[in-house]
Amino acid sequence: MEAIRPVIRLLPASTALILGLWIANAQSLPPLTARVGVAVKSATGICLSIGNGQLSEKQAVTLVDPSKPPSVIQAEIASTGVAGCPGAREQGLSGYSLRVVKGEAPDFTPLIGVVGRGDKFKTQRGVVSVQLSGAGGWHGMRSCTSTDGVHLTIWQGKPLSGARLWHQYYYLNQDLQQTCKDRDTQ
Amino acid sequence: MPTLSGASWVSQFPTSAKLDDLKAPFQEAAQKFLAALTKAGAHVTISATYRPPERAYLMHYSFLIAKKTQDPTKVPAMAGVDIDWVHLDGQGETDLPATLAAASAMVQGYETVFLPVLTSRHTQGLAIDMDITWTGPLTIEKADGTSVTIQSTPRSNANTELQAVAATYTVHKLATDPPHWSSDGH
Repeated sequence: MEAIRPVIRLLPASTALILGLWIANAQSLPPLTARVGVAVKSATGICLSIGNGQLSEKQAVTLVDPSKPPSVIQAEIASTGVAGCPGAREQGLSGYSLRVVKGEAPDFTPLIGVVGRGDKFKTQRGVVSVQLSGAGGWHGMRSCTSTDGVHLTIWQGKPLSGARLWHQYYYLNQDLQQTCKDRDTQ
Repeated sequence: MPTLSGASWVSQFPTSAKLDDLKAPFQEAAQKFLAALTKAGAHVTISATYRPPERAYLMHYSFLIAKKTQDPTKVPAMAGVDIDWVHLDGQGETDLPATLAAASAMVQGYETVFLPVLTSRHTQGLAIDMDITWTGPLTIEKADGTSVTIQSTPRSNANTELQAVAATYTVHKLATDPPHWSSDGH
């Protein structure tokens, strides 16, 4: 950041303003790996796998199914210290069980779980976006399938357009029609 | 005598997690790579090897019928799968609700959410889904008998040095799916 300030000074005022706002917005983003995870409803309940072992019971979790048609479901943490979702493959994830507070979670569908209150969600043209509490911009959510599983992503602005802010893979152990683009999986 | 579609089909043609069910010469390649991993002290968990084409056929068409994008009377037959996709009513006419319900029961049983494909490296016996982990440096033999010590991280499938060792055995990593290894990287 310090290194690029002199560069900003040399830019035209309008360009510097836009660049400055972009940097400020990026800086204000909370660490998403601690706030966003993958949730799946199965016969045994709803699991959440997330890179945060500090969550507690009754904390709010918004579940987003970005597939078409998308849906947004309200849930909360029912219990802590449980096994995570079986298809979550990243190391260092903690597991929680969830209960739905409002809406209905679809069976077996990997969902994006956003922990906390105060975030805003909107659905526009089939895309769910989130405006995280304390951060300015809207971030589009997306899911796509690769050979054996699902890639869930959150993007700065529209999916596949801006920077990818968060990504998690969920293994389904099935041969699937591939819908992912390179930017989803890289 | 064909058997009507329905949940009873789901337990047939199960996915294998055995190396013995892979096709030659990939089977031998995978066996040698896994032997090298075991000798080096790595931990390997296999999720899937061979997925029978019959299972892929049942998953694919039950999904399409349940989603009403496939005429159940026009599903192509598959040798070895004596299934009747069309349920009849008392008058011998197509009972569409019963036909759809039976396909949906299969979808539920398979836990299918996204369109399954009919062929893949798994249905060809040329792929293995596995998670490899280890602690500390990993000294492992390559196919030519020489050894390499992997100091880098992550200590998982994503390690590019490990992927290079696997390639010497003609076991290739598919970048888009963390657990997936195959004969050609697809």
